[in-house]
Amino acid sequence: MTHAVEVVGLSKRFGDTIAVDGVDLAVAEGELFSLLGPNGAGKTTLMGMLAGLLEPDGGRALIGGQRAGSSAARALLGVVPQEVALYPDLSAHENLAFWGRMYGLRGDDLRRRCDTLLQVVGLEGRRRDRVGTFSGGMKRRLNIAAALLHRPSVVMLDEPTVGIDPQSRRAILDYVLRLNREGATVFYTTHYMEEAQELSDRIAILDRGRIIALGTHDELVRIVGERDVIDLILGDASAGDAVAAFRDLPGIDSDGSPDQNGRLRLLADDGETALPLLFQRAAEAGVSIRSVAVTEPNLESVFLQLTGRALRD
Amino acid sequence: MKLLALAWKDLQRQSRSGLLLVMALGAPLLLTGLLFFAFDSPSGSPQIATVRLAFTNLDRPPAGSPIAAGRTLQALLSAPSLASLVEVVSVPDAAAARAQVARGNVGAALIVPPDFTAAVLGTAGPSTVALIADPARPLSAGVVRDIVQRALDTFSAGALAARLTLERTSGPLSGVLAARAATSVAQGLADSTGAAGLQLRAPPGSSPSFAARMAAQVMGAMMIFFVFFTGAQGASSLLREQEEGTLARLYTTPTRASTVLGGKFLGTAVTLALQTVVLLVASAVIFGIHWGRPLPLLLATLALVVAAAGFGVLLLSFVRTSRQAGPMFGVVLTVTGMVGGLMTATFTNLPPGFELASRFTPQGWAMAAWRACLDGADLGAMALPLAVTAAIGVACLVVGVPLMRRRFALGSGT
Repeated sequence: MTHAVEVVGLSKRFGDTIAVDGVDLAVAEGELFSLLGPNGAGKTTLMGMLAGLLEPDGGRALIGGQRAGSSAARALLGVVPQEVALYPDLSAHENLAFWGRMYGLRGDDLRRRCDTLLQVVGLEGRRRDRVGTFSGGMKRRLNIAAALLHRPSVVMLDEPTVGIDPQSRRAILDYVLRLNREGATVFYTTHYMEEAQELSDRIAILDRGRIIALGTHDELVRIVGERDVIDLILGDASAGDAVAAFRDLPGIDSDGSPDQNGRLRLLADDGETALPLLFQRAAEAGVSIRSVAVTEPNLESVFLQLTGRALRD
Repeated sequence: MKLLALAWKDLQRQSRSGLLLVMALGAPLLLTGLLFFAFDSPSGSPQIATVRLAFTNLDRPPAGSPIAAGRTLQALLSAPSLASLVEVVSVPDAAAARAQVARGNVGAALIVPPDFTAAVLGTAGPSTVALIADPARPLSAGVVRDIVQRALDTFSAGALAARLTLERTSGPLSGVLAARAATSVAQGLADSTGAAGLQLRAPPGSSPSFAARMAAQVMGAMMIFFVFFTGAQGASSLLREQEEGTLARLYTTPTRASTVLGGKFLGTAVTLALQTVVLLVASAVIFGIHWGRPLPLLLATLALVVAAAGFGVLLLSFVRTSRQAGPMFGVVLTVTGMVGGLMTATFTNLPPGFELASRFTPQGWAMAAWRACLDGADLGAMALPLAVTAAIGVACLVVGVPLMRRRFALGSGT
């Protein structure tokens, strides 16, 4: 079976820094695949090799069975770069027409595609205006449109929502979902956990050039277990008694003793039902609780568990 | 097709850059216009101050000579028709003439040697008339030199014509007979020229007005100067594309690196050609400049475009960022332009070393080609400057293109 994207042992180093370190992954046709990782994890370098912009030091990358970087592979790809890569002194329509020609479109087909995409990204009314006069969100939307003119079978988006307003971000995410529904394979990089969670069929977590976890959202969350995390901060005098007080509560376990700041972490089968029991037992035992936080298992906790660091560190 | 789309995109972008338009078209026309309108007058005559000319006549005509060429030359220069241009002041000897120039009392001095008449008659070897000019007043020297040259040409042509005519009709002549015949024709020619009034006449194919002729020199120089700037600017648009991320994006499309770079070069070359054509047409309309015959003009334009585009590509290999490019191009192009004689295009008495130095710059050779074009030179005479100008451009491309490919092609971190 031919994968839309296939990467085997891919690596790239810049001087002494290993940016991508033996990455293996395969993305099926029609899949919406996210690459999640903090800044500097190697997402853009990996994407650069898939787009043919960087020569790998080792391994291989295929797009639709074609060697990444070859003309055939590039014809299958629509790449949306992280930074807006448009000509500010050309109009929205002129930009699209130019990029369409670079993908080999011409004549009526080119005109139709430009009109359609301007409509889709909501810039029909600004078609003759220079891109330099657009807001950040408008530029981002046009930046995406420029990669879709030739109806690519694989669309790669490199952190397309960085630094834009929530409304434009929502519009972009909706458009990515629509693209995927229409049959395109989407390869999406982000450091926003929520985006990966909302959009993706599967997610790969990349850290320091290596894939540390790969699977569906549920599969990844299972790495930290399916139990909610309850973080308590206890009053000074209560810390010593708390573990004993909460020990035999049903569906609640402690993962250790309170730290020197009085912080105690508990694992609950269901955080919502555990909280009333917890407060009742604390009152009975004279344990003072200064604050409480309940966290459902998510990609952030997966990353924390696997690396010991927060995703946004 | 993609090549044309890339070139067209660059043309669109450049045509929307106000700064580039001012630099490419406005500046050369403005600089030339300032000079043109300073010297132009409604009558078409030059509005320049009369040049005081110290005239030292050391001429000793041979015994029995029917003419005194030195005196005739002085009379010619003192003709009423030249009164608005030259005021001739007699000075007894060469030392006094030089002193007058040194003190600034006169704009130039002309020293006629003792064997001048003998030389005109052909009874002696070549003779040299010395023109001493005040280096601080190059315009005066240019005016006087032009007038004197025409007077001397008149003498030479007369003598030669007479000798040839008589030889053809009578066979080989004795020295005495030849001298008499030459004297007679030269005198006639000199008299008729004097009667008609010695006029400043433009060489064939160039502008009739003095101001237009001067404007043509300045315009040619400014055009070359700013076309080279546009060439460098065009090449540096690759840097901008690299910094804006559009170059990397181009390489994600199924477009070859050679097509991308070729499109860039084509866009720059077309921009340069358009700039040159617009400047030629605009200056012809505004200043009345006649640029010469079409074919030499076309070849000079092509050579200029190749040289400017090639030089731009070569310069690009020495800069890393578009912020470096501005100052670096400014310094290099100004220095090479000055050495190439673009800032001294109207100066006629520059030291020979300066002329030699100008031949080490592409601008110097380009200026030589355009001067020849303006002077109405035939293609044979223009061949050398045209060929060298174009060859410098090609050589720059041969060196610069591989560097450019290595730097801006795929896998270079773009």
